[in-house]
Amino acid sequence: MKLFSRKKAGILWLFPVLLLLVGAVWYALLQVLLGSLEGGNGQFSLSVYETLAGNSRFWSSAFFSFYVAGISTMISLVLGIFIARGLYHYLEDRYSRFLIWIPMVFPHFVGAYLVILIFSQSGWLSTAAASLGWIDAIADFPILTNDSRGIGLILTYVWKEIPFVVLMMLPVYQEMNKEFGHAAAALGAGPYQRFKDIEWPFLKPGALETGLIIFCFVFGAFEVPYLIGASSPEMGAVLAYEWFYSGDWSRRPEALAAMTLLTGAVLTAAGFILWYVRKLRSRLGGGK
Amino acid sequence: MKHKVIIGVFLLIFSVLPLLLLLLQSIAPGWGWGELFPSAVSVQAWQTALGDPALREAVAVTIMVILFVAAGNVILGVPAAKMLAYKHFRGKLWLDNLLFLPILIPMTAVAMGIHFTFIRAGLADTWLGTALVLFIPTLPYTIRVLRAGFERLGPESEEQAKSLGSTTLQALMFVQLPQIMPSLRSAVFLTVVITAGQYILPVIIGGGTVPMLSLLYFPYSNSANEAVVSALSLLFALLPLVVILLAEMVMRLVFAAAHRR
Amino acid sequence: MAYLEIQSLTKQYKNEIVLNKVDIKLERGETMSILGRSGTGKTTLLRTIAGIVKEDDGDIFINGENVKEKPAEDRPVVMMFQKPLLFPHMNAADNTAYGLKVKKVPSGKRRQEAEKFLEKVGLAGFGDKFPAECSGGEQQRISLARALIVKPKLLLMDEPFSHLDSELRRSMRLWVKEVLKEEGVTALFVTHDREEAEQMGDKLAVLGDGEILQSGLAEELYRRPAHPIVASLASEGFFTKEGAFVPLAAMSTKETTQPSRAFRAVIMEERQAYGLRFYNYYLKEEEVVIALQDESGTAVPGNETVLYAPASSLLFSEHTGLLRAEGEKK
Repeated sequence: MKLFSRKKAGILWLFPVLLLLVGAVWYALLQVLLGSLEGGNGQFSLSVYETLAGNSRFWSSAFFSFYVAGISTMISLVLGIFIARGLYHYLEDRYSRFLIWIPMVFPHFVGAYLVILIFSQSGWLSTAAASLGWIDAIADFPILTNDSRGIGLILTYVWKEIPFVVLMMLPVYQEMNKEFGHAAAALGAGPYQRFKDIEWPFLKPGALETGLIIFCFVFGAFEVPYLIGASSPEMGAVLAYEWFYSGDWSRRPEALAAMTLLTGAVLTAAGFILWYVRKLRSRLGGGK
Repeated sequence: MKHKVIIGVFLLIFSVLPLLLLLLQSIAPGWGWGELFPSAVSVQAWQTALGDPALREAVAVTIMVILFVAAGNVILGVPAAKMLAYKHFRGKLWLDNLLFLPILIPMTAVAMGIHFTFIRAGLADTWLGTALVLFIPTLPYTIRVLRAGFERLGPESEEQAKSLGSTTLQALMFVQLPQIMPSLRSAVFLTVVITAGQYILPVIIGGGTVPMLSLLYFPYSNSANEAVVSALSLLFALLPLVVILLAEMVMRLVFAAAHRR
Repeated sequence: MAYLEIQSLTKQYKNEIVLNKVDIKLERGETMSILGRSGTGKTTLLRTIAGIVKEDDGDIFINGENVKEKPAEDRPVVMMFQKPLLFPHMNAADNTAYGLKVKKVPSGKRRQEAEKFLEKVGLAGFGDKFPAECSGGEQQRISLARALIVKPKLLLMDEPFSHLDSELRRSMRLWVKEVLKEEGVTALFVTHDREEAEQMGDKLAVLGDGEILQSGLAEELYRRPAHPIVASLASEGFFTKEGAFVPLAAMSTKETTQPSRAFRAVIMEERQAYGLRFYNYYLKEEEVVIALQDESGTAVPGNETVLYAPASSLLFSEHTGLLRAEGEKK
């Protein structure tokens, strides 16, 4: 007797994938949620969330995460699309295109270190400014890293994510039919109008999806803010990590509640954007 | 022409300059504020870094973990990607989204949530446990990239091979995979750089006993020896390149061996 | 000066000359078909006129104005492509009215005009449909409406029917020609299909090797092709081995009792192209008068004595200087 038909074998192969990406992930999230609902005496309660709601440190770090993630995403998307467009339209040379991937081989924390090397008060730009006579002492250089405005964080993420945007958008450009632009030009549309009316609708689904990935990544990120973030405000994940591993067990439910809220926000945003992207894509399918 | 110059200058500032700066910093230990260019060079930082036994162990462990994760990604990702590309079934949309979501979920949450279970299962503080959780931030990308490759290739390729008498596996090895090599390369590249750059997962799950290179980076970066940190930073760029070369060789050997059979 | 005047338009890609000093003249409201094999620069010609491709040399005058320095969007020229190229994210009405949107026509007026032009192309009530919901023929008609709505001074059509099936193609031709005449559009129509070229154009020009080889009325080109390529594309007849051409129209199939010079033609090769049958044949002068029969329909390559053509009919070809049968005499 044949235990598995060929069709079933394919699904069997999918099992480890499901176990890792669906089972483990959702199990972990469930654990985080359950841990956050644990009251003082082992009973379910929402008291941790009440405490958290009154914690101004949590709110300022949640807002800070949102702000850093939002700005980084916007800048990376705009510049990344601009670069992808330029590479596609004007740079046919495959080898110089490789240059854009250089930041990708470095981990995020190396990016953070580079930002310190270049932009910190004792960094290379500061030296350059001094040798040009713009500043006299280290202290004259503006504080751009470990700062409370998150400039160092944003610089790091922009440097790391622009190549990612290019990676995601270049195929969209390559698959886009140039003739649509020609048809629009023949009907009288100038360069700006062609981008707005013709190019952007094709880019929009991919751009939204890429933006979602970057936003969620930065929003929940730990490494970079841990390395070059200011001590106040902290990014959400850093705060949660500190609470969780501070040795003070009583803070653990709070840490888990913070992570639950962070993840919940990410999943809500993901739900809306993925739904909208799918709608856009289904429309772009026809009319070639 | 004007556009080409603008892009060229941007690429130079954006990509080449930071790389050069790291390189210079790593061979100029005394280089500090006030000097636009270093006055003296030495390979002392590299000697320090490469002479550190902890670092040498970390490189070995990291390469092993990355190879395991990359190979696993390909082995698990290819069938899943192929299925998502060609098969139509109920709930595909949901499966698709579920396989994509791990990219978006904060790894800190996943690590915190799964830590205790891993401890109980005896997987925490082991390299296997660490390697297993590293599939979570990588496999979704692998599936996406490979799926796009399969979709571009189309199902005809497999149908043609099968009509000539090859089995599903033969069609995959001889016909489909060689044709989606660019996608395969991209998937391996992404897997390698993402794995090498993970910090929070190996810290929490590996518990500091699985010395991934990223774990060494943080104490080093606080050491204020900028030349050594720069050398280590460059090592992070070299590591993926080495692994990708290895992966490329392995993939070619596998295809060649499969052909001979 | 003619309404459209193209003067020595030249375009070179790397080492290949695609357009070599092309001259075209067209009066207002006229349609010209440009006939050519694929890869002869037809599409490049239209793209250059539209401004999508930059010419190397030459001038393009439309209504007395030289437009060659203008970018595509500023030329009073609209181009229809092989594919309908409807913008997939816009419905039929928005697609049709796109040229008006660019000109900042208010949206209410745009919709009204779009409905009018959609009706004109026989698609009343299609305004809210998306391209994906329309058939190929419908899409190409919307594309035509989109081109006509801006009232272009010149409409360029690059084989717009080539992706439609043959029946639809035939009906579209007649019908598009009608709309063009109704609107009084001046148009250049590019195709590789002789029948289509004759139907769509008031005039016919043949493009080969980057040059306009001959232009004029279809009848003239058919009767007196001035070049082997013109002959093969716009006429019917036989080729000699050396590329000389005998128009079918010049061949008589009547029996004759008058003694005259006659050639014996042995068909060497038969080939099909553009839906027509062409013969390469070997000519030999005969001393005798032979009763002539047209066996072209049943000719088999390699057959010994297959076709006979009377000398009187071949004289016409000698007159055009195309027939060089002497070399074949044995």
